[in-house]
Amino acid sequence: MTRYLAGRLLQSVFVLVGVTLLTFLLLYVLPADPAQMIAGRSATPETVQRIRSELGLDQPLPVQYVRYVSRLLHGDLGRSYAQKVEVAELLASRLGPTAILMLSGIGFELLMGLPAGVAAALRQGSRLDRLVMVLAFAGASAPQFAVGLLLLYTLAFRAGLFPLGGYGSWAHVVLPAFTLGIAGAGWYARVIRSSMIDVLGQEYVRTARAKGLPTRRVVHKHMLRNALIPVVSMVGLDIGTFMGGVVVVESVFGWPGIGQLAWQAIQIVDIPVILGVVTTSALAILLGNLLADICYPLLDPRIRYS
Amino acid sequence: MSDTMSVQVHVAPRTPVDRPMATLTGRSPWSRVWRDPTAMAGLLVVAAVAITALLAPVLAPYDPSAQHPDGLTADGRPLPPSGRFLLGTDLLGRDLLSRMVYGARVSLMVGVVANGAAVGIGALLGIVAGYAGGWAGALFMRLTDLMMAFPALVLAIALAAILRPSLWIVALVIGLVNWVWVARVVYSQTLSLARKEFVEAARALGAAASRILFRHLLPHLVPTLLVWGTLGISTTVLFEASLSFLGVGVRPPTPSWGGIINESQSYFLDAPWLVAFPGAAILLTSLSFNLVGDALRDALDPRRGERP
Repeated sequence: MTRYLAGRLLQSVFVLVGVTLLTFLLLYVLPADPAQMIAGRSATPETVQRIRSELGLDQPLPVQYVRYVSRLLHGDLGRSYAQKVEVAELLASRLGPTAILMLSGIGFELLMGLPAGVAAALRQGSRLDRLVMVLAFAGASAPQFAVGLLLLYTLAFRAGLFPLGGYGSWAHVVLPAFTLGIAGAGWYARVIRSSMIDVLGQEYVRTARAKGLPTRRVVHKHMLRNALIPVVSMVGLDIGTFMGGVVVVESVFGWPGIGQLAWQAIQIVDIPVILGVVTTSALAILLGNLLADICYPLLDPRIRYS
Repeated sequence: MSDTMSVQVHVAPRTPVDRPMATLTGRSPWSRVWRDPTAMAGLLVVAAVAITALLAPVLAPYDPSAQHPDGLTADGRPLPPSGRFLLGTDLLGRDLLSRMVYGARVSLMVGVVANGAAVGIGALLGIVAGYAGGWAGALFMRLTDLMMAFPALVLAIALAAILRPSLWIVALVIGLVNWVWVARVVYSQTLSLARKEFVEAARALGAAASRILFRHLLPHLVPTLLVWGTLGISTTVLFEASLSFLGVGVRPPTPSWGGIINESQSYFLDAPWLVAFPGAAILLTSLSFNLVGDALRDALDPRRGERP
């Protein structure tokens, strides 16, 4: 197990280096001049040139990249071009809100997706099953920004149940998390349904039934545990993608998370911040997958890493 | 089942085709789609959107960029749905229905082109890497790992924002971000196909690699590509709408569904129809491609065809 995980970690380091390299190349090859952006439209060429050399942007690309990586390895993500603040500081201030949104979003996904999917699997082919499946697709097909805005309109503005966006109390969390949950729940319902159906055909389930165990117990003890394995990998994936910032939802609800930071940085081509966000986000995705790997053997002792 | 299971638990991508599929058998796969009411409903909506996009100039009641003098209230607010403007007007007094009819063009064009690009890139890389195997296969797997660790939307937004995109650029950006899922599926299918006897036979007969790839292997992958070609459009439509909503999609004045919502965002509490109608159009289009793709997958995969 330790060896397997060490191997995975090593692999992750390579992926991370690849991600920074690719982002770096993309940002510098593209026709956007950060020095010009910082200086503003009316700046003289001299000012732009001065900013460029201050930021080291006049150096050859490989030199810039090597500098960036060596600083990165020392935990230094650089400074934001726009706000003269350390990128690490900016990211740190956004991690909390993003983590809250991630956890509550996944909570909603599981809360809505799992019961619906299990119920559909147990009555396979019934009307309920078909309804759940169409709803699952609808959830996954709904544009999050429209869902978010309409939730704000109905539940926050008309009904006055929740604040109109922003960050602070628990009431602020509900609508953005629910918006995230609607989309994800559909996928969870589909996955748990098909893995429950797979488990349904297994011998041990037949045995459990034959020896007269009540259905409830068969479902809970014998089926769910086995059917949950693909769900665990989905949660791992979601931890990663949500921690990388959910740009659309954060922008609709004015949620001060990593997604909003990314969005603001992109608009002004604040390269150190964009690189920081992309690296954090790739790191989160890798860690999320690793976490899922660690969880499989806990759920199913038959899975061993050798 | 043996006592140690494989540790590779495959995570279904968000539009999954996670099982290998057999080739087309007997009846046309469409016959199954005809008999499935939800798939039929999906097919009808897809057809309706396609016709709307094609015949936009005929179907739209007004010019989509015409600012009607009577399209705003006396104090300059957009009009709710009425007999004159069926879905109401937007902040500039333009007819929402006409803008949405033209918006279908952007949605469908980007959906089809971007997803086509993703499926094309994915199929080509997947089949070549799968057939070559060895270090090429290993390199391919690391490349896909890398792509999967990339925050797709952030990457697309950055590219789109910097490139100031046209419809084609948006489509290309989405294609470049989305190919990896198709590639993985094609890769694993090619790996197992390449070990089959008919491939060996072809090789023994002296067939060139390109001939084996495209004449012998590719036909077996057609069902997979067909399913992805349909299912993937629903993701792409959503992706395009998100980019347009953030203001980095197809640029105004070209109307797009996500773009309409972006323009009305500051005013949506007073004019919720400007969010609800385009939002519903996006949902319906994306949902329909999902339903059709799902039915196609059931039809093309005999292993999953046992459902009552």
